[in-house]
Order: sequence, then structure tokens, then C-alpha cells
Amino acid sequence: MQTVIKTESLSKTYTNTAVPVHALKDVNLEFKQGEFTAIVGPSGSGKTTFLNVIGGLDKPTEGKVVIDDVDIATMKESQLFDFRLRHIGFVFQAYNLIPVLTAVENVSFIMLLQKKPKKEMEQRAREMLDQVGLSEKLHVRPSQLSGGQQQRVAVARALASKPDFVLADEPTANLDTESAFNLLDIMARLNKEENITLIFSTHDQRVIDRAKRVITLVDGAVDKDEHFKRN
Amino acid sequence: MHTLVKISWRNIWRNKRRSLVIMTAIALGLTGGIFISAAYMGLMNQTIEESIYTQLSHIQIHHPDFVNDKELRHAIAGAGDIAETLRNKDEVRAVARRSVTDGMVASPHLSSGVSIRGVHPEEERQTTSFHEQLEQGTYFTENGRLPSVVIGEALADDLQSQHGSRIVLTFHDARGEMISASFRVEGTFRSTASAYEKGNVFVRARDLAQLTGGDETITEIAILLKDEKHLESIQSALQQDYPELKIRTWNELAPDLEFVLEYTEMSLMWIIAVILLGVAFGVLNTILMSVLERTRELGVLLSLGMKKSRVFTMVILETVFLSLTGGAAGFAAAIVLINLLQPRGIDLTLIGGEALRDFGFSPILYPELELDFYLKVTVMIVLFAILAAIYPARKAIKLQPADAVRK
Repeated sequence: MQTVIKTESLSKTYTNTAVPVHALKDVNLEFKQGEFTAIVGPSGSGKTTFLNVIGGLDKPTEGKVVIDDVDIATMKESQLFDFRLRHIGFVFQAYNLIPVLTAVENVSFIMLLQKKPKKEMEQRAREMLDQVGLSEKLHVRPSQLSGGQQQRVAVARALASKPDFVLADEPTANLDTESAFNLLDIMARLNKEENITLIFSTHDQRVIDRAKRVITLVDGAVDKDEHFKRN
Repeated sequence: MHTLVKISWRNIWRNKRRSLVIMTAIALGLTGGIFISAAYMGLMNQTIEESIYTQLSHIQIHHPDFVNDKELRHAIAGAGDIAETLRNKDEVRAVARRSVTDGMVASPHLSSGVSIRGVHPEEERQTTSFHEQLEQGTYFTENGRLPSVVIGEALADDLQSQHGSRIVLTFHDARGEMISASFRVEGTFRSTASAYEKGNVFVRARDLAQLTGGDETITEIAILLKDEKHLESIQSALQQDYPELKIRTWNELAPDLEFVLEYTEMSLMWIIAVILLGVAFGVLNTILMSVLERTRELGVLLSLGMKKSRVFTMVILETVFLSLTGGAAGFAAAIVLINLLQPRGIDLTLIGGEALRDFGFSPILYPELELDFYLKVTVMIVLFAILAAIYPARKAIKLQPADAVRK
């Protein structure tokens, strides 16, 4: 399988605190196409920092993040905007949909920024909302959707533009059990059908139990990297 | 861009109460500013209109020496033919020949320098609406023993004369001989400017000719056009046809009027600018609050790959929409107010506005404003909105996406 992301000696130290915080320490990892990976660890272990750094939202203090043979750590800010737009899908803990846009407009949003043709964009957005079971809610705004439904729209948005990989920061943290399982089913199915690489940060055991690979971070360093065979 | 416009428009309605408060502030400020502007511009336009239609007409023709020495000896040669030719032009509504000369008016109580205006009443009636300003008496309908004179109310007060009184006019004829003759006051007129009332007396041109013992001496030809848009073309055409004569438009004849109009418009623009500047701080505050409340949402947009320039544009658009919506409400309220008050005017005599007449203005204001003024104010609203939006917009694009999404 093709390597999608590779980190080499990745370190991140925050110096704007009273005492320097070493959020990531010498992280060397590779993620293959189509992997379903959970990044786990206690609070403050560096999960979110890791996702931010490989997602181009934050720069490492040392080391490389190689995606498509390019070290994104060396990219300029404007290049990173474009890179994120073209290659990465994001799912956030608090859904973070655009409140003034309807579900279908939210899902179309990234494709719109990518300047995809209108017809293709609308068709894909409807298809994605259908896949996450929200074909009846196309023209509904986020405030009229439940938390679980909003997160499904967020997943549809992240996947609609067919990114190289999707980063999800604790996507089930705000969901009840039924909504969380529902979302995980959808993400597992899309991972399989669309062959999209999914990387989650989580301490939700329900997510960990579904992941085919579980990376445990402790104090910013990789403690365990386990692979599981799951259906 | 379409989606950016859509998001921006919808964003301003997210906190309806807050948006409506600032829109109301803009609307009230503009209603006041525009209404005051309409009142002032109405006053100025009335003054100019009155000057054109009761005194100046659009164009006047004189002998070049008459400009600095208003005497009958500077007559226009062939004035009758010139007037006839002008009457046949399509763009010309009416033409009036005048024998104008500086002179003196005297009563047993006072003597004063005046401009003696010898007119052809029928020509004058078609060219100016002066006859409509008659306050007492009649307008050259009497044929008494003494020739008639129509004087201003203010002058009549100074001379302590009234309808039927006898006054003496003194002037030089075309040969430079001094003529002094009695006239009977047939009527008195009221103008918006008391200075005009005091400085001009009207007689028949033919009476002046009889007194000077010769033919009529025409020193002024006044031309009223059908449409002011022909002003400059007619002027240049006449100047070509009559290079030996001085052809002047109303704004050349009364440059102070033109200056006052321009100065008034500029002053009013400054007043509006000051109002908008004050409101702009309110707008800035509203948009800044809106940006600070949406830190996470803006962080998401930046995280997803929306370029900073687009986020910046979005905040600018929100501010422009907010300001223009308030502005439109202000325009609507001002237009309603102007239209309500225009037919009857605003009578300032009740609050001491009579003094306006001393400065040549009517004490009754008829507010009016041209489309051009609204367009200029709209451009100003957009500019002030952009200025007010710069700080919040910069704040928005300085957000670090990774931090902002977790706020």
C-alpha cells in the first residue's frame, strides 16, 4: 500500500508557556492509503498537536511531515492553505459547520473553494449526504440538526472533496452512544468504499475498538503502535 | 464570490437585534443628514432658479463696455434683429430686450443708487416671472400722465413711497446728457432678496426712449432657453455669430451663485462625512464583536483552506451590507420626509427666518435633492464601511487556525 503521510523525527515544543512544553518528541510514523487509525493517549499526550502538525495547521519545531513527497513543514502559509484545501479533510470535535449555510451548502463548501463545477459539486454533496443518511435534510441549517446529524454533515463535508486523508479530532466526544456508533459505521463504510485514509485522535473506547491501527502517545512520544484485524 | 456574498449577507442577520440597532443608528444619522442637505440644496436651487427666472435668464448679451460701465451709451447695435434671430432658434424659449442703465431714484425722503431697467412688458412676461412677484398695484397696465415705475417693497419702504406715489429717476442718456424725470409708482414687487428689491427699478423701455428723445437704446438681451442643457452650446454658437458682443451665461453673470452652490454641496458632504464617521465607530464595534464571537468558526474556515483574502473580504462585505442596509433605510425615511414637506415647504418665518431675505434667500424652504447626491452618499457609506471593517477584518485573518478551532 502506498504511503500517504510520513513523519520523520517530528518534535514540537511550545515555548510561549512559563516552562517549555514538549508536546511531540521524535515521532516517526507512516500512514498507508486506506488505513483507519486511532491516535490515543491521556489528555496532554500530544494527540491534537500531532493532528495539527500533520494537517498543516501547526508547524513542527523539528523534523519532517512528508505528504506526496513534499515536506509540508517547509511550506509557506499561503501554500499550506492551498495544500489543506486540496489534500486534507477535517472533522472537528464540536462539528464546526458554517451556521448560515444549509447542510448541502456546508458539504459543497470545500468543493466550492476548490472551484469545482457547480453541477458536479451539487451532485457530490447530495450523494455524500445520502451516504450519511441525511438526504432528507439537504436544505436544513445546522441549528435545526441534532449533534449526531451535524457531525454526519461534517463527515460528509470532509469526504466530499475526496481528500488524500481525513483528520478527525475526537469526533465522537460530544455524541451519545447511538449517534457515535452510527457515525463510526458511516466512517468505517466510507473508509472502505472510498479507500480514504482516516486518522482519529480519541480516548473513546468505541472508536478504538473499530480502528485497525491504534497508536498510543504518552508525553508526546509513541508508546505503542498496534495493528488489528477487524471487519 | 456568490457564496461569499451569501454567507456575508446571512451573517449580518445572525444577531438581528444587534444589527438592527446599528442599522437604526445609520438610518437616523443619514435621515437627518440628508434632510438637512435637501433643505439647504432646496434653498440654493430656489435662489438660483429665482435668479434665472426672475432676473438673469439663462444667457445675456451686452456690449463689452457695458460690463463695467452700465450706461445707455453702450448699446447693442442691431438689437432688434439679433432678438428676432434668437427667437427663431429651436432651443430658445423667449427673448427680452432691455434698456438697462445705472441711475438714481429719489423721493422727498431719500435718494439712492439703482439699476433702472427699461423693459418691454410683453417680452419680459415671457422671459421672466418677475410680474408674478407683484405685491401691490399693477404691472405696466396703466397709461397715466406720468410714466410708470415698478419698485421693490424694500425700496418703497426706504423711499416711504407706495402705489401711486411720485418718484424721480435720474440717469444719463446715450449721448451722456443727464435726464431727470418723474415716474409714478404703478406697483411694488417682492423678491427673495431685499438687496434686489432695493437695487432695481423697472420702467417701460419706450418711456426711457421718449425721455431721451430718440430710439430705444437696448443695452441687454436676455435669453431664456427651453432646456438648460443647451446653455454652453448656445453660448458658443452666439459668440461665433456675434464676436463683437459679450455673451455670458447665468453662472458667469452671477459667479457668486455658482460658488455658493458648489460650496454648499461640499459643506453638506462634509456634514454627512462627519455623521458617517461617528456611525462608523459603532459599525466597527458591531463587526468587531461579531468577529470575536466567531473565532472558532473563522478558525474552521481557515483550517478548511479558505484563503485569508477571502476571510478578509467576507468581513468587509458583512460591514458593507450592514451599512448599506442602514443607509437604504435612512434614504427611504429621508425621501419620504422630503416628499411630504416639499409641496408646502417649510416656513421659517415662524422662527425668525424673515432675516434670510436680507441675504437673498427665501424664508420658505422647499427641500429637494438630486439623485447625484444620493449616489455620492452611497459611495461614502461604502468607503466608511470599508474603513470601519479593516480592523476587525485584520483581526479575523490574524487568527491561528489551530488555536481558533479549539476556542
